Amino acid sequence: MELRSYIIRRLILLIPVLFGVTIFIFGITMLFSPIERVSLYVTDARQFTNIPALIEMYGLDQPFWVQYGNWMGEIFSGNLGWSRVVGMPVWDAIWHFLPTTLELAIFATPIIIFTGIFLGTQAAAHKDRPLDHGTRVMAIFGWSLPTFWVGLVLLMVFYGYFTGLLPPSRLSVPMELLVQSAEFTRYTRINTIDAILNLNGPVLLDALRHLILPIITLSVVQMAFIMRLTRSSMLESLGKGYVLTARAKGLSERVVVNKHARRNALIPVITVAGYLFAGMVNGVVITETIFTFKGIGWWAWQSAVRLDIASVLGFALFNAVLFVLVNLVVDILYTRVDPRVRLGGTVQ
Amino acid sequence: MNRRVTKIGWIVLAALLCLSLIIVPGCTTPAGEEPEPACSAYIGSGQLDGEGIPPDFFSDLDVRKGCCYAFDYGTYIHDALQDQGVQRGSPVVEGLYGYDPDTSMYEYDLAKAEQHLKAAWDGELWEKGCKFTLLYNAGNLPRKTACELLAEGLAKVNDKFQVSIQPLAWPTILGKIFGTRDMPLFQIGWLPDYPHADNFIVPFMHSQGTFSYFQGYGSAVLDSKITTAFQDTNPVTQQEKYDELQQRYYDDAPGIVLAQPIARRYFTQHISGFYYNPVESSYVGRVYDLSKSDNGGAIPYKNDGIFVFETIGDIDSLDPAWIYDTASGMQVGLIYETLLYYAGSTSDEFDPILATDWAFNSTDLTYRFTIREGVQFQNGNDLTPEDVEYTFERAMCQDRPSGPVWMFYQPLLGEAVWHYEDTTFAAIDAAVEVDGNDVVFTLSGAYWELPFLQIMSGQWASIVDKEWCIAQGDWDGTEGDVTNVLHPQNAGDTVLFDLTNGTGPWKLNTWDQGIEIILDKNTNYWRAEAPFDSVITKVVDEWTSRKLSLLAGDADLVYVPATRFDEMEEEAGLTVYQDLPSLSIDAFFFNMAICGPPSEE
Repeated sequence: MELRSYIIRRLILLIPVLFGVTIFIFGITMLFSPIERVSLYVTDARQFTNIPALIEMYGLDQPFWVQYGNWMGEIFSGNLGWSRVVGMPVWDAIWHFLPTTLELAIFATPIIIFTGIFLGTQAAAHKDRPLDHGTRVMAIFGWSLPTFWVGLVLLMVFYGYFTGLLPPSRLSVPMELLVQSAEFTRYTRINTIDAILNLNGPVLLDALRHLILPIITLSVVQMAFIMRLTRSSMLESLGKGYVLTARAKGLSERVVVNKHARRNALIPVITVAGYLFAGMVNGVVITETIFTFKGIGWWAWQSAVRLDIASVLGFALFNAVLFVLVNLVVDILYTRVDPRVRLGGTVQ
Repeated sequence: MNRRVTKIGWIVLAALLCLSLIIVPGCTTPAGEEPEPACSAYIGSGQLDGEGIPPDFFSDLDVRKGCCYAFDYGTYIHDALQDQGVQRGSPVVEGLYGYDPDTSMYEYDLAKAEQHLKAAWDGELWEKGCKFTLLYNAGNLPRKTACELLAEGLAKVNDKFQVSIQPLAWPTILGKIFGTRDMPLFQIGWLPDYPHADNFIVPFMHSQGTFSYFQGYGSAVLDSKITTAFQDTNPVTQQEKYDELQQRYYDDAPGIVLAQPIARRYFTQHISGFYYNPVESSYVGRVYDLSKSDNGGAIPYKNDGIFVFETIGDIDSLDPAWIYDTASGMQVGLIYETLLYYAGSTSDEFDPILATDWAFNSTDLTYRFTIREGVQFQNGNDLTPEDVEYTFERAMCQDRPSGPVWMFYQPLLGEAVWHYEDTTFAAIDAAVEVDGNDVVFTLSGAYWELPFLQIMSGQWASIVDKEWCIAQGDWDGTEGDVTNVLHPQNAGDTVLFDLTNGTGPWKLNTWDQGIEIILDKNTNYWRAEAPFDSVITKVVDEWTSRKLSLLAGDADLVYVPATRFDEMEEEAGLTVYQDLPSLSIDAFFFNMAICGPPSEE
């Protein structure tokens, strides 16, 4: 099938996906009584007496279809609703918090994927030798550590013990003031990229310094998975007949491993890597919270905790679109890695 | 391969649709329709048979008193509040106008508890025992401890008293307190609007009060006593009446009053000038009176000329007429100013700010405020009496739902007025008038003389610039335009949500929602220039991160919850302010009519 029509077909599929996702989430939120949902608007004990009025005002006691219909109507007029937890429209909130998360994802994903693939390949090539055992222990260790624990320990060591060495949040106070001032243009709100575009070295260094700990936290936990997956997939490839042929031809072990075996072993890894990236872009709640690196995950978490339904739905829509797109990219990547794969067809 | 994926996608989608259709019908019915016989899942059999309690269980005074004596106050204060609390006999806490230090208090006394519980329900309770469940909001350790202590105390008195404990999410708890009312007891706290006994007695004791209504406490006789006490203009007899009401809470025991929390503040040594006024809504106190300089010590000196405060929870809005929470109040208090403000650490004496003088005339009930001359807003406009008039009329014509504006309606337009609909534009217009360089407020009763000044000291009474507001598209001051600004649904619907122009020592630089607020010095301030070039308030949810920021000198003050006071004691380089009584109280409320009577609303 032609690439373009394939993409179009997949994008059309988005419509039922989005419809299903929103109706499902809306249905779940309806399990909460109007009073539970109105608690979002009650920030203070002094407001309790007005609860019935608030329920009526926000239409929380209306039947499901009326509430869903109202929400849909607003969507079609381009209004995703008001995100109360952060005090801005939901649409703005997505764009407000996405750059922070993207900054983490842009740096963390390549580190995780390439290091993971490299270590996994090495482990498979040196199966049952010290290198393999070493990486396996590392992987089990990394995978079993809870993110919040890793994050807090890193923070206590590199910010507490070495006082002020690698601070949380995105920028230090003087740089923050500089970034917010008129001298600095925030093109993307991704600090590292903005610093490069503004040709501002100090901001770039400061932003990188603040990125180190969150990225290590993310990598330690996530890399283990890619590594183990690559290893097992590689072992399978290395046992195949074409590898035996390649070796019989007298090719060097390096070429056999890196070209013949690894390329074939990458398909499952690409699938997982796609989801890994998507998973990071839709937010890494714990890392973002511990390091005050507030991105979309933090926003979604706050919205969920406080039953901010407009925000939760907005986030769900964003997520659905994101995953459909990432899936699409992954499918296209398959054809690049493995010429046997045809879009919309079957493996020959 | 992909076709199969698509097919699976459709199947999943169809499944989701079906699932949501199953869910939907259940959601339109209101929660709380429990099957017979017991109307609540938390009162066992719903009868006094040893396997539950009847819905009117707590209407028996002896049951309530028995519970009050079976609660271990000392352990609660020690364990739940880390010794940072003082027991109080009634909800009226120390620091409020009308507080009576001599109100009786219950002590932990199992013999007295036994005596009362033996008498309860004509001895039937003691013989058969009871069974019910206490609920608390998950994650709130002090409330959990309180539930455990009450359960333990009752079990010690008689092992037939079986009380279990269960956590639930906060929204669900709220739904149960104010909706289904199916909890035997509930725990909740209260903060003052203005530091007056009436502001605590009404929610706790009035038959229509925020809490008492939902627990089925209060009576017409008591209501009239509350009104009489508030309307007494003689301070001596008024205090006697408040003493009597506080003692009445002890006698009736409609709740177990837990403790008034004692706060602490941890600044780095580089900050000085803090003093505490419990009335202050801002955690930082008065930033304008602080100063920062390198005082050595264990914590490095950073960010010269900048004050950094790390806390939890973002602000709701910067519109003075909208704000009703302490976080927003702090920021508005830095950007805007009120006519007057509490002097030092008092709650009933005031310093002039934007008013130079004020006088109350008790015959025609007018309050005359003389407006300070030579003050400019941050955009250069002059402060005029018209701005003051506009400020209050704007707030009353905006009347944000569940906002602070009722505090203007009540003293100015009478106790029957809670919302814009309860009054007329003409009445609002007449209540605040400009007279030369004065602004004249006409009160609804002479007894508002003191509470009105307290209300005028709140950040909701911050003065805005009429000319500038209208230029930004806010209310134009006429009756015809009221419908355009009345009852905004979302904070962002008001013009002053994130646009500011006050007379205060700082002006808004950036409000990065959910993340931080940066204020810069107002170089045109009418008093001495502000002590900091910038004031940065960051929202940091993670405690470890806040603590390490403080110790690294990256923050000058951080929010420290009471449960962390112990670990802060080991840290060096900090200036600690201790024994600061908070104007708040947590209490257990006995629900005297579990599940009802259903509210008429």
